[in-house]
Amino acid sequence: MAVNIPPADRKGVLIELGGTALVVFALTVSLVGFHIKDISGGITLDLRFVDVASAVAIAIVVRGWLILMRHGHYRIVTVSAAAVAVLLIVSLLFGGAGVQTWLPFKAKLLQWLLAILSAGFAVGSAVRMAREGRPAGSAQDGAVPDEQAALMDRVSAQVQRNALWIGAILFLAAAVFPFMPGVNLQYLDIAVLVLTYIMLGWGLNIVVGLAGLLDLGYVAFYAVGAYSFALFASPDSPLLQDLGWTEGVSFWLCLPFAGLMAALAGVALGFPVLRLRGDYLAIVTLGFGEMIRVTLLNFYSLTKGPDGISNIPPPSLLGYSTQSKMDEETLENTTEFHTAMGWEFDQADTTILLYFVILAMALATNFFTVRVRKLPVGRAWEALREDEIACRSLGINPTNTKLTAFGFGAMFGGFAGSFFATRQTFVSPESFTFIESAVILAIVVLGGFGSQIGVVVAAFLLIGLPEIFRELQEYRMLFFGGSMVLIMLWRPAGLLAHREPTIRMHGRRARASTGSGG
Amino acid sequence: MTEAAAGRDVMLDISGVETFYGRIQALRGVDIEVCRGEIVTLIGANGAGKSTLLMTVCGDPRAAAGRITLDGVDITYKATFEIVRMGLAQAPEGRRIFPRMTVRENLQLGATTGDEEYFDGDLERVYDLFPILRNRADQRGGTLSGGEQQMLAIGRALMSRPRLLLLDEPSLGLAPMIVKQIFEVVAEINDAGTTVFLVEQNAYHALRLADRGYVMANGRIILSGTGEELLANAEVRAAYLEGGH
Repeated sequence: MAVNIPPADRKGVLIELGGTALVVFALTVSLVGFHIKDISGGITLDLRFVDVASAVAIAIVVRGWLILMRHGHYRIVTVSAAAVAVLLIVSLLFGGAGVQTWLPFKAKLLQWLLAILSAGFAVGSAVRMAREGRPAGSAQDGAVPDEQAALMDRVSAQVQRNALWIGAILFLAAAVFPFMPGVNLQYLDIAVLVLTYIMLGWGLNIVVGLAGLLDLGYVAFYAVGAYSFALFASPDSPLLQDLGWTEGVSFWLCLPFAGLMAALAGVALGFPVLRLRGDYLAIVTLGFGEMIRVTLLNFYSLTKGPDGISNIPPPSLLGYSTQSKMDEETLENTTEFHTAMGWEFDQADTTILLYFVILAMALATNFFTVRVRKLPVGRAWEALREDEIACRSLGINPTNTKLTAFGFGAMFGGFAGSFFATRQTFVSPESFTFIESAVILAIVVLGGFGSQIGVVVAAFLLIGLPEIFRELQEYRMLFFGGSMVLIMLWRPAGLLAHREPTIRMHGRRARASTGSGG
Repeated sequence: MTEAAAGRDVMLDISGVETFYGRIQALRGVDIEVCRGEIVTLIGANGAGKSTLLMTVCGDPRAAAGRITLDGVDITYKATFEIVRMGLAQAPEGRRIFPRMTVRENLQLGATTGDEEYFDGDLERVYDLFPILRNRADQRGGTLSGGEQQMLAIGRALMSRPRLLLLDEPSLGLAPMIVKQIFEVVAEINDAGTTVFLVEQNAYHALRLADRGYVMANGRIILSGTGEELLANAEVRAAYLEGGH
């Protein structure tokens, strides 16, 4: 059938296609086109213009489909997209040497994504065709993006409203996860990492999401917590050696201490920045984060500078050490948990213990946030985010309100830092660079300011997926950046941006909303 | 106190107050007295310094000279939240409700300084004064109409059980019907024992409602008297009542 595009639009279509090709070419030619390869005696440039050409061709085809759909040519899109999808999937599934030539990229995952994208186009345009009841026409779909945005708004409202159930299901899933068949040490490690970032996201959410204080230096509290912990927990710490102690203090004693130290650091940061707001506050907090890192780097007598503090033991359990005796001479006179229970030492068991410790800590953070929103101090935080002048005219002390927000946010960052230290068994300043703050903030922003479940989703997207797809090497960072751009275009206020009232007067939901925020 | 000796129970005493924005002087020695149980209004043109005066009473900006006392206690240099905790409440200019919070949450925040045991009763009282707020209790503040937002701002201020209520242009941008309704409620609030200090551009309504009034121009009080006197005053009529309405 003939492609019928109004003559007036033809020039626009050409410009659109040309522009797309140009943008994709410009983006890919330097990133993908030149590949630096290590060879013996130096490096060499590997030119990959076939890949660049494939990317440009794919972009043109996909853009073409979009244009055709905009002009109502659903049948062409359905047929061609389905053909491409089938071709790709067949090549992927039954690909021998001969069929492999149909695949544009070397990375399998890219092929799969392309196949899914084509299939999506085929299904989408078929659905659209069926709905409109006519295969061709000049229908404009201007309302569609709004519809989609409204849909996502409804989804996030529903998610927040049913947070109790979603939270319970997520919790059960998290509780049985380590014992699921097929869960190996690698997945457990990723889960522990994701949970750490969920906890950090929830902690930062108190400062940024609830109190509305943009903090770009959250990693400082993470670092303070990690070092406060390490200095007392590790038998190698300079502080313990100065004190003449030969054994580190237990995890469960160091944890609250580290939280307290981080909270103090939070209040200490809070004082000078009380009068600052928005961008200015962000810049000062950014500087504070760097100050802490540089201090850790240079205060050699206390922190061992760039060498870091090693030999931090894992959490003890019911008073028993959970370390393996083999690598720990100083623990000769202690009893390990696995010996007490008559088990063999297994690294996986230690990871499962870590998993449950961070799960409990993250849940405690969440529980705190959900409850505090209903207390005067939490309400004051939220009111402060909305309007500081109105707050003062209602008798809220903005100084105390800001300081408590900084303090509590920092405290949870400190707890997470302690966990980080015990998990890594080693801390050094290079773990606490600005990029960590940026990632934590990205989790909060992408999830939707103040949304607890949003943080979970975003932490999974930002931390979990890149770890799972580690074999994709640098492509994963491309996806990372791309998905962040897409989310911000599509949901500028965050994936699940929806503020649920702390209390409802009418309707049966009054009870549900008093539960966990998930 | 001399005022008490004169048989007048002065609650808010503003004397010789001067306020600057940077080097620009907004208030030039303002004297105002608000007695217990009164409705006192301050009228004047745009930019006369009316809102500045209310904000100065609340401590932001601070008075550069002069003295402000509330029930005999000097509040000139107290922090805003401390002044509010002394029993003064303000429905600020531009309403400044919390747009993303529900009506009920807004009212809860109004009760920040209050005693928890009065909360339910006070909430009912505000809902009785403004029945529309009861229907909108679970709605976000930002989704209310202008009039409803003004009612919410006043209701929120009342939640702290103030002895003195400061209202900054409650009629601003509202339909005449709504203005009438709001002024009726202000009279009701006053009947229930709350002293009201009302800053208004809508001189006619304000002066009809008020026991006494002050007229401000260029940061100075140029006239004062009872509401009826000012309504009858030729100068006031020329400047604020005719033409503008």
